[in-house]
Amino acid sequence: MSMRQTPLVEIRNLKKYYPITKGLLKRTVNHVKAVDGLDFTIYKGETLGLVGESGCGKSTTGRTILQLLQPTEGEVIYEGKNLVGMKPRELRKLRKNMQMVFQDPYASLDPRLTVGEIIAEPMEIHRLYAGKEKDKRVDELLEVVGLSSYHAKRHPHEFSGGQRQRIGIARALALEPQLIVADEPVSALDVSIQSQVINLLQDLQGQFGLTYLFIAHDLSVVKHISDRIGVMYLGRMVELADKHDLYDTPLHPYTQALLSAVPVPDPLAKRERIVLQGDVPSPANPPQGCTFHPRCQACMEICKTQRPKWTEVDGRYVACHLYE
Amino acid sequence: MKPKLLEIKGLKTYFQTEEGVVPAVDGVDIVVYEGETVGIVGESGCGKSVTSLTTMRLTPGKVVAGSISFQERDLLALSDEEMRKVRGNEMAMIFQEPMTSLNPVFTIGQQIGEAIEIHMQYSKQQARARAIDMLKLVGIPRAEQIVDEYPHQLSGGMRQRVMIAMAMSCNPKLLIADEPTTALDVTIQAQILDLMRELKEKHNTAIMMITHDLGVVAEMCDRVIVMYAGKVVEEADVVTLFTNPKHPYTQGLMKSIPRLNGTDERLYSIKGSVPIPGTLRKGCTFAPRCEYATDICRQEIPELNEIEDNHSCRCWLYEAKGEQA
Repeated sequence: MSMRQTPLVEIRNLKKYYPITKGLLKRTVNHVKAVDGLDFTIYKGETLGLVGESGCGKSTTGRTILQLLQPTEGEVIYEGKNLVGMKPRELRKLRKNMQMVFQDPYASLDPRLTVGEIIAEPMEIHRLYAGKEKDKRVDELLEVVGLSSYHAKRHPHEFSGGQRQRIGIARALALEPQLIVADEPVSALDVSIQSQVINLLQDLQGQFGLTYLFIAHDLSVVKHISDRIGVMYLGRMVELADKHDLYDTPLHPYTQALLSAVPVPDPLAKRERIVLQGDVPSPANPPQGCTFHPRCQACMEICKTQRPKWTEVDGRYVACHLYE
Repeated sequence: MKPKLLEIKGLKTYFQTEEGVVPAVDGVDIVVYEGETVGIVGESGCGKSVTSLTTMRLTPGKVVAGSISFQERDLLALSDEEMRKVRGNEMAMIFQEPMTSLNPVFTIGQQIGEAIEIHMQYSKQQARARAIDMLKLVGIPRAEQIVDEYPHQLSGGMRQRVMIAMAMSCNPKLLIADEPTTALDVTIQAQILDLMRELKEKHNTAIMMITHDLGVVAEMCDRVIVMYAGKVVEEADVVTLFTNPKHPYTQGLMKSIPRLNGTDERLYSIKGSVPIPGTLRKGCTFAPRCEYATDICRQEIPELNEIEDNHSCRCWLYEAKGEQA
């Protein structure tokens, strides 16, 4: 695809550490390395999926890219400009190009505002539309996400989960962004509603040429909506590839285990499951070397001491000593 | 045919609310045979959890009709004291949230031991030893130390193992698992499902598995019951249900899930949303969302009919087996 060739966001050595403090003087004794050195590019018009288990840092990654969290280190280059360390005023101008859709449609809408006010708020902040024009735009947005203009006068509690998620999407679209970071946008929804919202997101992408960073733990959903997929484990990316390559021939042992663990909705399917032992280690005290080595079936001596490099293999990326 | 372990007939559990009566469970029939795994599938608000809680007699709602017979005893007729002897002993339950269903101020050993002391008349020391054995059985490492730890010291997957250890400690005949892996990551889910399968085979425990995840159903269950708005809409063995679903709702569900080995084609979606319980009008509860709905669907509620051998469906599109021309 030619669209893939233009980078929209380049992420270089992105890190987000949280200090662990101790004692009266709040001495920093250690860090939780929520995101620990990510390098990847989001291309214009694509959907990049980010998967991983809870605590792997995928949500932190999304928020750090949008500068909702201050990165500890690294660069986020948005159309040639580094967002990290940018003056707040400059950053605010760029903010309208990047919006977010949150997981919980019950918690991410202000219960005291009407739906119209919720959708209009970003336009007011960025002084984009006013008066009649603003109201017209709200009506338009509601229709774009499959609601009606008469919904603008209602409050969030009058809507079901799926409808609320549509309101959240309308709000994200209000500023005509280029990039939408969607953090688990369908995980709180029922199966029959989930597919409605997935279809809506895909339609909007076609209509407005949006770029998505789609964060989710449900691998089937991510596979369906994404062009490329990055797999995260303990704050690092272990593999990044075209979705078909990733699912057909996963390289990293963690990706292999993760894919094999997904229950298949087909009772006749043969299962060859790699069941991982143990739990994900604490990000405050990650294992030496490759962080996955204590649970890895292909663990070698080198894995216990040396962190594998992020290497390109046939147009895809993997961090594993097996492929260096 | 294996003997029937649990038979729920015409169960109706209603809740009295300020806005009126909410029929959460509205005429449900379920049979669980010994040693089998029955899946109960449906979306939020379809009554699957209330059905299981009513079976345990733990629901605050009112049972207005129906019977629940467990090992040929009518559970609804038992006194509270008699019911306590059944609950946790012959019939046990695992809940969705391992975080909130364990008591934070008691050690793991005390919590597992409680049921053992009550139901098996073990002494404190014996109960503790049995608790350690149970922890080992569910694959918890360092069981001798974990038994003295508190729930907050364990991860989500470990807590769910503790819940299973607790439920299995008195060798129940029936295990009711309400979304047992929904709060867990996939790799941990795979561990827990493996464990449940293993325990089921070892102890011949029947499992009533409540879930919305069709993948989990396909892997775990022998038979599946699909619920919608307080009623059973389809029932079949797992292979039949997945290869030949009949009810438009079941068909819609099957088509709307993205699959790992699927194509990139647009997903099917059932229009509209699940009706709010208590707001139902006459007719089939699925009719407002159904592609095939006709006048009769909007007027009269269809019966749950056996349309093929061991395959029942509540839909006007199909006639009962005997009535077919």
